[in-house]
Amino acid sequence: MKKFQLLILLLGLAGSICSFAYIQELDNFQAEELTEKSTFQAGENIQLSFKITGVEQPKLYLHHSYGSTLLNESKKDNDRFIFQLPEIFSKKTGELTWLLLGEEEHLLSGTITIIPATTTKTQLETYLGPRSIVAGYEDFSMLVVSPTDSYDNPLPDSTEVFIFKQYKNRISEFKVAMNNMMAWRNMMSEPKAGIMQISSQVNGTSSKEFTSNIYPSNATNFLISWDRNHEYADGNQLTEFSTSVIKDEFENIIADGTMVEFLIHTEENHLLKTYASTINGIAKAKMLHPDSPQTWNVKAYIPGVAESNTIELTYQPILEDFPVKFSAGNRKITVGPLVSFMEQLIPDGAQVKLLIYNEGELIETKQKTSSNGKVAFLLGKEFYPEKRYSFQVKALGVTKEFRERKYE
Amino acid sequence: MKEKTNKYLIVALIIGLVFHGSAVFFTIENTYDALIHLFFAEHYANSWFEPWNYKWYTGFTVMGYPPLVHQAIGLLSLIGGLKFGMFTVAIIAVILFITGVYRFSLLITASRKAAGYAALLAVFSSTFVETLHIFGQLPSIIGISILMHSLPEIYLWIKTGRYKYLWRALSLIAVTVTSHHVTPIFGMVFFIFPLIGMVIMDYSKEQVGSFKKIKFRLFLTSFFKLFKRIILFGGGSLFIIVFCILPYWINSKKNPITQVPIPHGSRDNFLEVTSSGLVFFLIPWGILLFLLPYIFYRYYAKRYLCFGLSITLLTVLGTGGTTPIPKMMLGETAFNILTLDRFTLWASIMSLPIFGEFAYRFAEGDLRDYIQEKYGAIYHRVLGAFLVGMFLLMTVFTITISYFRPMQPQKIKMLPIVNFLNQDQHDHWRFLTLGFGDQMAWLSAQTGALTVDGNYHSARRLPELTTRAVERLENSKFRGVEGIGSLQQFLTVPEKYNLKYIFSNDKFYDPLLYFCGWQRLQQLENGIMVWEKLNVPPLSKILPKEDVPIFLKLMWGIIPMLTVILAFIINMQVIWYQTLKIKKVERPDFLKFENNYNHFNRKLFKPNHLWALLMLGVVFYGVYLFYVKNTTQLTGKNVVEAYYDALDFKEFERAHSYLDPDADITIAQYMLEVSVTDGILSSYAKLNSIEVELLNKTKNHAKAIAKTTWVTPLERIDKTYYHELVKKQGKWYLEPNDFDLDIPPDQLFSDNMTQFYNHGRRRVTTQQTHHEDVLKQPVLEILSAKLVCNNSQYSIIGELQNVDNVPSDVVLKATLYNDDNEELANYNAKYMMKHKLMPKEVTSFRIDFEGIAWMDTATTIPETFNPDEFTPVELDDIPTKFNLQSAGNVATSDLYKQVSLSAIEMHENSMEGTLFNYGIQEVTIPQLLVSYYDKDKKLIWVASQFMREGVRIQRKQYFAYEWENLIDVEVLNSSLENCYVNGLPNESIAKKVIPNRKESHHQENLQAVKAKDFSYIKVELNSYIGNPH
Repeated sequence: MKKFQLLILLLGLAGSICSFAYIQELDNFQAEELTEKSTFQAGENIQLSFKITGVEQPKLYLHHSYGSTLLNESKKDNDRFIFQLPEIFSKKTGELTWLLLGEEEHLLSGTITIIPATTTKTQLETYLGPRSIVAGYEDFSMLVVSPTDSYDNPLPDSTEVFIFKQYKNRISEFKVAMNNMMAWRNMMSEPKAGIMQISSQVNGTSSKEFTSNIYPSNATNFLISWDRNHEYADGNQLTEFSTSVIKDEFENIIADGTMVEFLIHTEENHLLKTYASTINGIAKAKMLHPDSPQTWNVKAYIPGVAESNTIELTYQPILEDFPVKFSAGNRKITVGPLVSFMEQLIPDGAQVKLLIYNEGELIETKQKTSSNGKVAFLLGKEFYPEKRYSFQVKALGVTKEFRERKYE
Repeated sequence: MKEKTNKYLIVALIIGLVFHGSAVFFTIENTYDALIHLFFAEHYANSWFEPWNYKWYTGFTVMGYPPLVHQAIGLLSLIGGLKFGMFTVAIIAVILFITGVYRFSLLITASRKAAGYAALLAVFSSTFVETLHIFGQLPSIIGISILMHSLPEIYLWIKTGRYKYLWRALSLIAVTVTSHHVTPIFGMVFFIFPLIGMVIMDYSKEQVGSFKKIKFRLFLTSFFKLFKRIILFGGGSLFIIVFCILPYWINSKKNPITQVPIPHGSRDNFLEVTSSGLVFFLIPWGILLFLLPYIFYRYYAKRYLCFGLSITLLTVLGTGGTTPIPKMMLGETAFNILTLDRFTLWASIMSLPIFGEFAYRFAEGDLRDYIQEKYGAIYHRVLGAFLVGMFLLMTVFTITISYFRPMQPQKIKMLPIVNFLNQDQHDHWRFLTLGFGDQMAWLSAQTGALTVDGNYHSARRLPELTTRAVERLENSKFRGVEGIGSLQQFLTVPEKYNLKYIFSNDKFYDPLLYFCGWQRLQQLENGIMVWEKLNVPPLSKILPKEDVPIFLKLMWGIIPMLTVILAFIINMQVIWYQTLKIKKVERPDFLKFENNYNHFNRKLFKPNHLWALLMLGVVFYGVYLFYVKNTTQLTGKNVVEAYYDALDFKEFERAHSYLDPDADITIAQYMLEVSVTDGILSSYAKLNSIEVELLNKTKNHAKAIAKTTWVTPLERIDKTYYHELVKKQGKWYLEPNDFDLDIPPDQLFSDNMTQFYNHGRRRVTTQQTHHEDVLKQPVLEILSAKLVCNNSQYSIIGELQNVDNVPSDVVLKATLYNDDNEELANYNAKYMMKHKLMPKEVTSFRIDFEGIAWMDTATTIPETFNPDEFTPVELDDIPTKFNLQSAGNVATSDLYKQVSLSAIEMHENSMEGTLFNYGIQEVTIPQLLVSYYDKDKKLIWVASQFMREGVRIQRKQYFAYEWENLIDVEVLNSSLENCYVNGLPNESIAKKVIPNRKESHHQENLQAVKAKDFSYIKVELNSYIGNPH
């Protein structure tokens, strides 16, 4: 089989070098090509006719990028043989090698060229990607257009392809020549975020509308501010931190949803955190007021990308002192009323801790939340059988100590 | 004498058809097995000759179960649908069973009346009701029924040696084996061998004239005289058993059951696990338990001696793990493979003839005369009423048991799920159901989509499943560590199985799904939540299959139905004559051996009475025990246990009743306090164990420490609670605990959030999504990645940022290599990362390499439950390099980040802090992700902790976190060389997207800690929202 193919190849080569009106005389065979045209348009009806004598059943062998096949004549008129190329061969562009075979030997060979049917309606296959890019001068979406004739054959190189780009109020047009079966262009980003719409046109055929989103570029540094109802450390109200409108280097407001981390350094060198994502460039995060006087240093970050200034906030104590009452043989300890900055009862839920010591050793820490400004601890005899206890009461940043209470 | 139609049998058939025929419509779909058979039937209905089924597991062969019943349902389904097929087959099974019992009883008792009674009793026998209406074991019922039909023929063949009986017997055996393979094999041992014994007895009796005169020697000579017939029958049936389901045997040989046995209730100790005792012992035996002495007495009569031995054996084997005898008799392997309830089933069926005989004698025979004569007619009536009452009560109880104690989830409407799978090419991926019970089989029968799970565990193929005692992934929570462990592997690495959709009917699994990186897609109209995983490739067009030779396929498709047709033709004549009484059928030989029902053995009367009294005593004792167990306030310990039990079952009114009545907490107040707690412990946990210790106990006061362990889908939680107890008026009470009185600052407030929506496909098309509708994968950047070794376990840790402008779902996959670049293991990131990232958000991650647990069956499986159980993968070599693949996909849900860290306090071994939720969604399970850094601020370890309580809106939640022990942590390789983002090298992305990264941010972001093994930490938060609104 291999030999046969080689033979065909050689013959093909030889055939294309020689003129097409080639007459071969071998003993008593004689064959002559009658078709003069060697270039056809795809989709055209292609017939090859030969004048053959001395062979009863000549066959035409076709070799093409689509595949190979062997044809019988479709029409015979004395010594004129007409071979009709199948549609699948005649629709496909490229070089087609033929080989005329007699009973045992080849008679003639030659090549024809099928070119795209540029006269038919052009069809477009278009790709745009990536669909979202970043504002600036570097990023781009690539548009690839592959125009074909109606038989799906790529149009010839240097066919003109028009590319249109709409961006804001501007519509630009580009002309690209096809090369290697397609045309492409990098559609550069713009410094302003927005939507870029792209289409293409070849021979009057238009593509769909393609969209590329231009997202804002990386954020630049920004400012933060705070807003709070009052300046007291009541452990109940909220402080809201907001950023200025965060923009990128091209003055675009950064993408909605961008995460901003607010880091709070406390006096004790602890790091508190709150998060928010931006809307229209502004991120607003909230934080609970501390429940003891504090000074906070707050700075916000978009990690690795941008940061804010540092702001300092101070929270004032809401009370200086509170009463603690021992009753029922010292077994009931009432803390409060806890009154806040304008003598009002503090909102429910303030944490009060009672540390119970016996002979200098901490034996238990009780923790309760206030209700109506008060907290009561009960020390049942069953659980606290010792004769003496001393206590520490901690609430809202104030610590009070009580030495040696006696018990029965 | 012209034979009359047996009225009892006719009545039994009519009642049976009406009773079971109507009940079956309400019961069988809720049974354990029926829907599995339906699934198989659907397979045959669609591909009769192709044994390979792709739908379950990763494909399995239906040659693992005899096909007759399935094929019958499948055939009938072509007329009126699958369920029509199932109901029809169930009704046929009822008829076969009643007539089978009749024929078997006639054979045993030789009395048409006793047999008629037996047939009547069979209709209502609790064992049959349970097998059909609770278990739905259609093949088993049909198998045993046909076996009973074959017994008279076998008897007659051996007795008379006429070949027509042999053909009949063998044709029926063939039907039996093609419907249920275990029945004829064990039936041989337990029914046919004793029957042969009986024939020999009868044969011997005819020689000497009386059973009493039969000596062993005579028995033996008779045996040898009949030997040829026995051998002919035995050989014939052996051939039939092998030949008729030859593909089954070949398949069993090729795919031996190597899997870990699945625990079955019938192997429990019935005294310890009373629920198993009820279902697998008390119900099947039912009222027969009262008559055991009579049954045994009768079966140990000389004629039935072999049956006596057989029933003894069956009874003992049926006791499961209560005594060690079954295990000793069967051996470890058989004990663990067989379900022992079938022995009880057979024993109770074997008892039916004697039960019928008893009923006959009691109702109109010598026993009635004896009782009436000795104790008077009234006692007889009372006793009769008692027995009939008990019998019917047992039946009613059995058939309704699933109403009182549902064994299956509520019936799920499948249509929305089927529609979901059919739309948008959702069936191009595998799916998984959670909390569907056996209804998953019904879903599989209705959809063409494939699932990784399945409901016929003998056919499991994935090692993730076969190495564990997991029946289904579906109900994995009931299998504790093994179940959740298996499920986790499927959820963490779903792309391995092309698993993309999960239908969840049980919110227990929700946190597990969320933290494994799944997202809620939509709630279907039937209430089922659909979860989806991004970045899972669809199934390939061609799936692997194990093919079998064509002759096996043909055998499998043709023989079963052929056996039915042959049996029908062979037995038709007899049935025809018998029913219509057209022609006098010759009197079968066994009717010659009539029993004497004129003289009830009086010696038996007392022992049976005593036995019945004893049984009554046992019943009353059981009731008493049940009562005592529920006196909850007798001791301080009891009340604490009862309190937590009540909490566990969410019976808050009961829980409230254990609180000190003088503490002035109304039920309304208590409910309010309970309702405001949410979180993994109160919403997703099941109490596993509780240990109560009493301290400072005085007469009326005590302090209790309750050490509880809770099982949650994510981890096992140990929590210690402290309570003060008081005793008032002889009852112990708990002092109510304080609750948080904190009030949020704002009554009404507003919040703005960016929300996202992705159309999926914008065009209405059945084709693949248009390329312009496919979103670009968000760009991620891996900031650091390290291979670390902690305690000889390898992990990849690092940090990753979503550097795109849209939120991203992140899938991280790491692969370990040795020095020779040979792959050692790969796994995905599970809990230790935030799977959903907003633009520019950073997450730390840790990827552990998990192996398939207990791959080596020799290692013992721990008995305690721990869903967080981790089986490190066994590596062949020391890993030195790694490859990290990250993939981003646009995420639009689970992006809630409004939780702040509002206070923190550092201790030597731990930290304490407060979270505050300032947004408008209630966080059900907050997760702390803690990264550890060395003194140079280099990452050395990542750990996480799930908080037990949720964070409500505008409320605080306290947490405590203990430092990990990092002594053994060693960083082996720190490199970004083989890190990829969406298939592209990380380095090029890093250069392009954030060219001027501010490294100082990282430095300023860390919390300094005074600890031994590390110097800095970073805390990140991940919030699971149970009920997003």
